[in-house]
Amino acid sequence: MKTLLVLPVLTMISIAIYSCIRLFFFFTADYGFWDKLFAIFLILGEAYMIIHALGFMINVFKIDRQKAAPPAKIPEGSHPSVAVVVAAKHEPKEVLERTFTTLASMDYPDFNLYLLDGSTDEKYIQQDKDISRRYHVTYLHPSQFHGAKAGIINFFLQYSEEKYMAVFDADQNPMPDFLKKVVAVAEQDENIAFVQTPQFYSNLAVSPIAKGSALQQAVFYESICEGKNTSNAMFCCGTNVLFRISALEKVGGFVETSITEDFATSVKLHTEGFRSVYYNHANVFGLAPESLSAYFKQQYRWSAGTVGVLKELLSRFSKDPGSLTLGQWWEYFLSSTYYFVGWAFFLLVICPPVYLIFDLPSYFISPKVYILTFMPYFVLTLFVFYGIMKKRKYHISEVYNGIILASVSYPILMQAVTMSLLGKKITFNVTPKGKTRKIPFLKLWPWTVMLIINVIAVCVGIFKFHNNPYAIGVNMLWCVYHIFILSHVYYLNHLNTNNKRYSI
Amino acid sequence: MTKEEILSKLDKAVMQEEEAVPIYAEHISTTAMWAGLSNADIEKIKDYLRVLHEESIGHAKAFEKIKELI
Repeated sequence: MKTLLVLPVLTMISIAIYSCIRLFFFFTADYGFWDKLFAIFLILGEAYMIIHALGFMINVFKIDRQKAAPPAKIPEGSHPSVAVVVAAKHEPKEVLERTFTTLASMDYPDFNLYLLDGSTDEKYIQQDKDISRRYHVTYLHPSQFHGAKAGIINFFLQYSEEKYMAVFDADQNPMPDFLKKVVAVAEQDENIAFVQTPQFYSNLAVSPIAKGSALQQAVFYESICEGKNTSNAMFCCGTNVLFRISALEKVGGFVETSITEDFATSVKLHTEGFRSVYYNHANVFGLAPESLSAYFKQQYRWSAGTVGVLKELLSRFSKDPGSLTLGQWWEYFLSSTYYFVGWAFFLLVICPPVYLIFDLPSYFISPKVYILTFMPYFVLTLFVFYGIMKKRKYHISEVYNGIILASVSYPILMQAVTMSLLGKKITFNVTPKGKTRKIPFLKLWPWTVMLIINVIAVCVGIFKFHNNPYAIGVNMLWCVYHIFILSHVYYLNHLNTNNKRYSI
Repeated sequence: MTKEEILSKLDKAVMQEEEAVPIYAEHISTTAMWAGLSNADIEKIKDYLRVLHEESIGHAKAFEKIKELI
């Protein structure tokens, strides 16, 4: 435990030293226009990585210091009523049946189940009505609504009479004690607008993509969310969440203009002075994307949505900076800029080939200073990350899967972020469940082009090596590393998923 | 408690035994590998979950018999 406290502090110091040295050389080095231009690109990419690494370290430091006390149990006979809502659209029968089996089995004295069916296909409407009858679920099919899931839930809020509303995605399976635990948390303070809980992907055996996604979820829910919670900046993730209906009504319901309505609604609730709580001790199991195309669709939607909220956040910050605390602004800034990681990664990947092919340096530090400042920062950051993963009992192969999957999705994130910043309309896509088609080879052209550029750069580097062995050698190493990462996209795309989703 | 209420409770109990318990068992089984336990312990957990699954089938049958009596 002590090591985990010391390491983040040492890492933060190493980050600060590296940043100062890097900026000093950047501003004092005497280079031409094009060199400086690429140097700015690289420094922007690095600055992004450093800011987010710093945010992660601060969160780790905070969660190790703060341990939440378990909430008091609600006395028998005074449990408030809960509407348990599943918003679904064209969901497979098996997935919905499993969800309602676990929802109906929850151990709580006063709750009602609702299926808010957004399906338009008659086959699915009939299927969902049959499931509703079987599990004693109130079936609602709003004929007119806006904003996909947000619109359906707002439609429901007009008729709801319960005190709380628990929202689940169609593939989420809570354990029986979910409501008892989460309602007890919400009952502690009338100002709590929502209680968010984690989700655990359990279809890990299906593919390395599911495993990698699960690792990413684990890092998010077990480290980042706990840190955000200490700043009252935990946002709603759209599922496995309990809302106080009166709080939602006070802010006019869910935001319908964003494709990540949950994130936008959280900002609204926080700016109105409500609290949110992240409670990491209630278990809900769900399904991870099983194919690369499903994973990319999910990432595209999340990134486009959160960047859309960034624009709103910046506008709000300029008009009313006092509407959120400094800690909340910082956490929301980190959350809403997270998906710029695609652009940051791109800048880091493109700079070494540019140097090797066009002789344009973008990194103005002497070799000795590089080793003395970059290496401690790089090694310590990795140590802290792997330390946290080890503490959480994650195996190195799972960490590897998660990192590779995050890295190869950079063109998708770049596209989503750009489209969102340009205000282009992005249609809502439900993350596909089960098997989906492989991405055609030609559609993987962004990866292929970048791979070819890096391979050419390595070949050029071999011919130029004798000119400047150190600088060319380091850049060649980065190119080889990026070739290794990028080549995974073809492997991941052509993986056959294991049909046996669950097994005992 | 009326006869209908008892039957409704028994229906729920049958559903939990037949459908819910296997779902919980599957989820716990697939995520146990992330709990930092040894392979031997994970296999033991899986064995217990299999026993639980089989016993649930027996419980569901017992509930059905009670329903018939009512």
